[in-house]
Amino acid sequence: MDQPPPDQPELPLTELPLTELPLTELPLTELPLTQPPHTDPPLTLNRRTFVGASAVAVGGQVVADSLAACSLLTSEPTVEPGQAVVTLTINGERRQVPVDTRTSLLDLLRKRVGLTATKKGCNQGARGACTILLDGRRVISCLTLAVMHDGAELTTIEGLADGDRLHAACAYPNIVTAVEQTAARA
Amino acid sequence: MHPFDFSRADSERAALAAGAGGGRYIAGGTTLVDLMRETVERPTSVVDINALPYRQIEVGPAGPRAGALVRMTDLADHAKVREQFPVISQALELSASAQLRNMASIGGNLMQRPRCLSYEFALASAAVALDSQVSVSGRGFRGWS
Repeated sequence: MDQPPPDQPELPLTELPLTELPLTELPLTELPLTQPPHTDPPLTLNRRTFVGASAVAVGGQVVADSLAACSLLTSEPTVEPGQAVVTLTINGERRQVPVDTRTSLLDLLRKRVGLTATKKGCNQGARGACTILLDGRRVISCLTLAVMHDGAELTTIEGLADGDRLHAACAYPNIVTAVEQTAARA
Repeated sequence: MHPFDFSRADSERAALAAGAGGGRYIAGGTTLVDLMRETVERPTSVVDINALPYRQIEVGPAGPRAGALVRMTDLADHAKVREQFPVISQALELSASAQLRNMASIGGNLMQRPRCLSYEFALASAAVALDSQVSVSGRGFRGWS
């Protein structure tokens, strides 16, 4: 079967028209403190464009989180219906994170806190790439809602690393957390 | 996933009232969150029941008794259950991965069909083999058919 023609010419990363990438839906000054409604990425993106766009989007998220952190110092966040603020200890650091009630623990870690070593594999609980330690037990972070875990202690792959040295060239969350949980029990 | 209001029930009475008002109960969430994400389930109210006192496991002369909120891991790992009723431990360990067993409640997974080909068993098989009984509270419950 013939492949459909690409929607846009293949460009090497360095030649990507960065100014035309979808930076964020909102200008930086209007970045929401709470998570915007879930939207699926446009289906027309090819992988290469997606990687470029993701790099920019992650940068935007870091700015958003910094803004959120600043505002938390000065005022209590307001909670709208369907929104919540969860307090979590993540890798030993206590954090208050405003979330949509639909946010999974995985999306909180990756999108709200910026810890991306925990991976989104299938988002259905079959693979284990999103495994974290929740109060010392390894769990599938994509199948649980962040709002259910107010006060919990989370350890991610980043928290199990020795400084900048991860456990292996590629750290698999399901394997590393299994070893860690077993070691903690012994 | 459709938007919903989230609340926690701190007593059985509060949980039953919230359920009667249309709220869906969530314990481990391993099935409900997946179905909500796929919009198969579209509750407008989700009620966290994890604070209810149903986490105990007792093993008496009549056999083991587990609260609905006991996690699969804890029932499977219970020393007396493993020693005296190994079919329960085996059924649980053949039901899902270790991460899911750490999350999934007994009450929510009694009749859970394994969704992955790597796992091929369900607690219900062991429960039927042991002639188990299920105690349920709530208005409008008419028993098992």
